[in-house]
Amino acid sequence: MADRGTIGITVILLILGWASAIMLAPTTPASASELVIYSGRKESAIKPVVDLFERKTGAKAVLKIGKTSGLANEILQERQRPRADIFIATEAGVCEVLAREGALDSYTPARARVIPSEYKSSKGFWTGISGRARVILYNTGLVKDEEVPSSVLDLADPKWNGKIAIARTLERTTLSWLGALVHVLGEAKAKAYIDGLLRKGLKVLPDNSDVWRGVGSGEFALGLTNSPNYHLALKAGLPVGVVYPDQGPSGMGSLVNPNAVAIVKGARHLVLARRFVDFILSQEAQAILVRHAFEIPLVSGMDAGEVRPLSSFKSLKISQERLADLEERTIRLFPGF
Amino acid sequence: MTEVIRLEGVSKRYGGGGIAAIQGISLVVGKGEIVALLGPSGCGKTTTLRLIAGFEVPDGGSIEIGGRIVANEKIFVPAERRGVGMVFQDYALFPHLTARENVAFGLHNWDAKRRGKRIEEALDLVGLSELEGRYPYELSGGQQQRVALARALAPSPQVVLLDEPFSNLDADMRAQMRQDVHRILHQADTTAIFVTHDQEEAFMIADRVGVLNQGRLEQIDQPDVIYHTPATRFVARFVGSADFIPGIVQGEGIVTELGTFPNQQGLPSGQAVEVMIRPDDIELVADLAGEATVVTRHFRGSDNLYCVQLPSGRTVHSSQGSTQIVESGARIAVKTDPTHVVCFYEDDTTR
Amino acid sequence: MRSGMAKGNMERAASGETFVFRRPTIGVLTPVAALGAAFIILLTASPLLNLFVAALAAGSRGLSSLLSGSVPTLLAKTLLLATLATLWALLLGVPPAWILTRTDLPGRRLFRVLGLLPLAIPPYIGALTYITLLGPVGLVNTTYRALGGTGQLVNIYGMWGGVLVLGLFTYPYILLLAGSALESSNPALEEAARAAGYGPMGIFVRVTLPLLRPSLLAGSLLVFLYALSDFAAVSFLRVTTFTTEIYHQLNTRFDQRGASALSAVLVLLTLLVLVAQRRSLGRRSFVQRRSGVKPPTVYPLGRWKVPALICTYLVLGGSVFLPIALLLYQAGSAATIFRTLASGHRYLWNSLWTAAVAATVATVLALFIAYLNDRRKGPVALLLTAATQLGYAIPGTVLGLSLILLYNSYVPWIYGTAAMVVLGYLLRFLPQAVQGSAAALSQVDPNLEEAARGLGRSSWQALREVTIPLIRPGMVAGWMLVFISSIKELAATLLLRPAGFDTLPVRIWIATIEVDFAVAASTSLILIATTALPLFLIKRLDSGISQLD
Repeated sequence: MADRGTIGITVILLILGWASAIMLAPTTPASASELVIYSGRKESAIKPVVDLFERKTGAKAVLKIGKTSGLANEILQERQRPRADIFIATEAGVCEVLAREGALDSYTPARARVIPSEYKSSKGFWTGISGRARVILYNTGLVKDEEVPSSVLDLADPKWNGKIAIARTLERTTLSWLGALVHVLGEAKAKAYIDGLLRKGLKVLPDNSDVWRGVGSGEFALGLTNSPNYHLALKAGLPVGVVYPDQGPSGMGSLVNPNAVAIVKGARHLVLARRFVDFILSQEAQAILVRHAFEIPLVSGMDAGEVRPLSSFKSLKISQERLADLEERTIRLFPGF
Repeated sequence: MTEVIRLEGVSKRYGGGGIAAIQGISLVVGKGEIVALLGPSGCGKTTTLRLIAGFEVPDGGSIEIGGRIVANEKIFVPAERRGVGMVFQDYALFPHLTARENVAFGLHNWDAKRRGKRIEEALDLVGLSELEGRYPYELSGGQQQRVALARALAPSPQVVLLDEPFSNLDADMRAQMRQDVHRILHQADTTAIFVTHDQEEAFMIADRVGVLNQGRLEQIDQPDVIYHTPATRFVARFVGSADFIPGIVQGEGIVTELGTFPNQQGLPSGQAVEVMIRPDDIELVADLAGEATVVTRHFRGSDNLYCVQLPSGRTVHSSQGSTQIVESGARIAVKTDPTHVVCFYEDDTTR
Repeated sequence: MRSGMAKGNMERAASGETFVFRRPTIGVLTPVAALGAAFIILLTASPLLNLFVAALAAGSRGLSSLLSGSVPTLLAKTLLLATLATLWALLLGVPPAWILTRTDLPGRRLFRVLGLLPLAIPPYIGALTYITLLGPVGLVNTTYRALGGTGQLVNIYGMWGGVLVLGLFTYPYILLLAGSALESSNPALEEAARAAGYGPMGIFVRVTLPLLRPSLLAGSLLVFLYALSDFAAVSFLRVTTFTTEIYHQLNTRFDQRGASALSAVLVLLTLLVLVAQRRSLGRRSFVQRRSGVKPPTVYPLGRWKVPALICTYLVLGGSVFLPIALLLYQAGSAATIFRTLASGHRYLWNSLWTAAVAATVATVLALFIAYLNDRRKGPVALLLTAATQLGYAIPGTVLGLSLILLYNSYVPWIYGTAAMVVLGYLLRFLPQAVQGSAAALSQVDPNLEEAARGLGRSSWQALREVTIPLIRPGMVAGWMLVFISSIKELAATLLLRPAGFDTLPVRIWIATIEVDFAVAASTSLILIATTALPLFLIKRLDSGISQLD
């Protein structure tokens, strides 16, 4: 009945097409020396570091940029056949969770010695790279220096109604900040406070970039965001000022979120991955992060440049393990945030 | 005469054992014969054609072409291997090929020289040699049909099947094409079966005509036999018009209201029958003393068709030349003198 | 003559086998066809089935997250957005459709070609450009402030911005469908109305509009479906809908069950709309050929010429010229565009080859499906068509999620390669290829294949030598459609791409999120350039199709 030749040709064509699709994929199991990095940190922040790594070691690296939690999900999903070698997270709580799931490989780089213990995993599953503090950004045209609130709790003042912006919990720095609040104030008070803010018109934006640009343009008077964004806004020529909140003697301190690097368990390029971890803590890489991404160095003895170093302000005392513990409850306390 | 087509008890159902499209059809077509399958729409004539062509699978019976079984319960030879040419109602010419390429389509296995010669022969036969480079949309209806015919004839098939070949043509084209197709088929000495609902067409072209009704072949015979001695009432009515008047057989004659007819079929005395009367069998003459009346008169150009009421109240029809006119309401005398007397029993048989 | 014929007969008797036994069939299908159909059904339906299983497995936890109150609001917001966008698209699409087909507007042929251009601009790029114009720091606001105003005059973020942009970049569907219907309508009906005493307005209301109703309904449902499924544009414009919420869930929670549950609800919703749309569309295609009767009446515009021109220019301007101008403005200079192209040629290549492979596979499958559906009707063919239509019903985000879930668990050797991206495109846009082939196939007389078989070709050869040459334009049009849609696709690609494998839309997304508008605009222009060319080719092919009538 059928012209076998034609069927055969079609089938072969389909197979060829499929095969070439797979073969042409740049990240196949066959690629021997490509380091696969999943980064929750923005491309503009992390790419210069990766480029330098490639130049110094001659190895190739492929970057997958996404949301930290989403990438963490993927790492969990891919556990049977891990594709990622390195995971860079925007805060360390998620690494704690991954570590508990057994998805990370332990490695303590030499340089980790000079990192404070609260910014690295006690079991070596993750290491803090650099930090970002939770700050209050304000528009200097709309807010006089004296008026600026010194504590996040002051934000409940009716004069700020509808004038404050913050990023969604899609941004993990927001999520961990909420978790820190729960830790400090307790669930009930934290919920009351945040719900109050929401009722008074707290604007929840998709991304931190929207927050600092919004404050810079005058769309909002205040923004709850991360310290590097102050410097980015200044660089963009926007009229902004910054406050590191809750610094008083009884204040809770400003939360510092460490960006963390971790090696995925079962990574195919283990040696290369370890070299990357060493590299990202090295002087050169740290310099890039501080100078270009305005992050707070966690390694002691590092020149912070424009950025306020850790030693210059009071940071909120909370362990990443604790934040990881609080995560589930925090998410449920603030649905839709 | 050698047999080309033989159908034995062929039947086909549609809708999963539901409606029977054709039941128990048996017929034989000899070499060089042109057979028409005639009947109203839905009678199964096209289905029969498609079964012969191999586009449908019969549910029962067997089909032979050229002495070789092409379909029965175990065997089915698909259309492409039957060596049967088909001309479709809408011609089905390949729009992306020229007339010449259309005709060449069935000759793909022939060597180039023979193919070229054959194409020319076929186009010549249908009289379209100058138009071979045209595409179907550049040809008229009649020309398209000729290409379709040439295409079907080119591979020298064992039989050519035509499905309502003239229904897409204008009336005046139709008359011309009937003659042409008839001539072409005879000239090529081709066996042909064609399907039509037009009795005039069937009679004009075919050597034998088969009348189908609701899936059954009621009669297959030469046209004049069908006309003058129809096997069933349906055939009688479908082929020409007919009236039926009751009568009683009495010895050598059959007594009816219109007179006594010779008992040609030798029916037993006392048998109640109905006698078929065609309009051209009845003559009427204006007669004031006559017992029948003209009810209506229709002028049909070449004749007048009268509806006549007999004393019993029964009406019959009569066809008279149009030079004479008998007005409605006039009293007339009725005369009949049929050469063939066809009687039907109540159950529609003639024996 | 006679000797030639006799020879032919003898040839036939000598060649060929003597007996051919009846082949078994499954319904009306040969075993090969049935196998192919089963494979395609499995391929297209499995992700969705897996998703529903995952959603059901979410059990009480998943349900409680649904009933926590977020779903009713989400539902209301999403439906509101979709409804308003559809109404807006109707408003934008119907008047130009009428003006361009039924009046003597100068240059209307050109306009009809240009009217296709918005289809080359994905709504998320449109969103980008309108943010540039109407955002809080957009052109309008900065000008307003420069002129002494305070605060903001307009702010595109929010529901109304979503409606504006979605409607503006989907109205071509309405334009195409309504235009087709208007073009092929029978003038006798309108003449009858005129004979009965109706003026142009009356004719429009009582004759034209009712005739248009089926295509308007079909077009509206298409736009509605699009609005329900959209992800990137509403993300940029900060509207919360089902898709953005699913994405949010995927990226903040650790298990996919909540996202699966939400996805299941969204898919049910889109399925409902899809069924309604298919019912109303029937076998109509975007390109309808006239049945060969007189062309419809053309009304002279007279003094309405200028307003009509203005109306058309406005619609075209807002959806084509303005966005492109804004993109050029954002990109800053030609140098930026070239630089982006140079550093991102890899992404262009990724986009091109994945789209091409997906389009090719889709066209081959579509031919098979369309053929089965047209020539061998039956339950299998129906099931096959239904399964392939699923692509329309599944929003990109959900499709990405379902494929990840399914292939990671059961087909891990494909997971994590670029083949997943191709697969995503294939499943999502197969319906478009099927539509192209099916429309073309329905125009082909089935007798042609039988004629070919009667002349000695097998079914396969008949397909190759007769049917395919005749439907080739339709097949190519289908290929182009899938190609264009795949190049524009963002939501599923975001989820499915392996590390280091970005396509043009992904780069636009990243650039926008990182507020690097110059790169976003440059990449957008490159994208539009790659989609505009095939669009023009489709339009030219269309005129080629009608040649074969």
